[in-house]
Amino acid sequence: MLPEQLAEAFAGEWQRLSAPGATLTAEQRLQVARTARAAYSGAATSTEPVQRAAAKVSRAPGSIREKWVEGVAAEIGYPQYVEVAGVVARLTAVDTVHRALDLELMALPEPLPGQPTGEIDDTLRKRAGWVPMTAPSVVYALSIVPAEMRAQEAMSGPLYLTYEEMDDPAQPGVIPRAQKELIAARTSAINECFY
Amino acid sequence: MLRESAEATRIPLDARAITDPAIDPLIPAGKPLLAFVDAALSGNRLSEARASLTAVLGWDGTVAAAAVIGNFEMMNRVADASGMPVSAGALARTEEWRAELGLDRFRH
Repeated sequence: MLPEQLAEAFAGEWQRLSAPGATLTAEQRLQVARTARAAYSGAATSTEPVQRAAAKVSRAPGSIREKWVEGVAAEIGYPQYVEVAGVVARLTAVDTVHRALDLELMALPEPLPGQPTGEIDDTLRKRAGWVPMTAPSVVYALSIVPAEMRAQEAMSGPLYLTYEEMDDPAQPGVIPRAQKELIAARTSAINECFY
Repeated sequence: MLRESAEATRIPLDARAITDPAIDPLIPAGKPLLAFVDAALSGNRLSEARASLTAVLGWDGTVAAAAVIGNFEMMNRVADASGMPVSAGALARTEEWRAELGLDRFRH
């Protein structure tokens, strides 16, 4: 039902979801995903800080403000908050495609054993954005947790365009670039997201 | 990027359609594309919107459209969660367009 490139991208994301991340175990990442799905459907979720962050990024990202991020980060740290945001954002992408095409949501994977990798760029400091990042760009927004930044790039190409392709406004594809940008603009407008 | 890509590919565009559903975006299949986005994000009349789009673009085109929606659901969350700032250059480049479409009401 899905083209091979997209199916492979989703399978890759499920592999990442099932493995330990930088600050969360695999089971904790899956709990984040479960909370995100529950919040999306309007169900009540835990007020524990990791799950609270997962629910807000899933259901009401446009209501997130800097003070709230600072509050969550004071409890769990910026790297863990960024990991949660990355997991939820990519899960939302996968689920959105399935819902839009009337396909059954992918069952969440089984967690792999192991401890968090601890791969964090602790040289970064908060400057322009609300979390520490390499540069003020959506490409680098998750850069304090390099694996999350890489995972985002791995999804972007199959879903939309690779970062390199984005520089070409006439980039061909199954649908023309202008149609892709119309979809992008409307999606962001509905989400009241300036990006 | 919408305006740049329309100009680069010589595709007509009325960008006001992004924020005003009454306006035809002029881009080929623009109306069914916008209806599909609205339906995919709201869940309302989704089957109808998907069928209308598939009639114009085929299943592969509809899948490609769904994937772009998914990508921007992802990117919007990353931007909102991180407070990613919009660069001064981008703000300067888009000043006229932002005013025309009323986009400055969104946080940046």
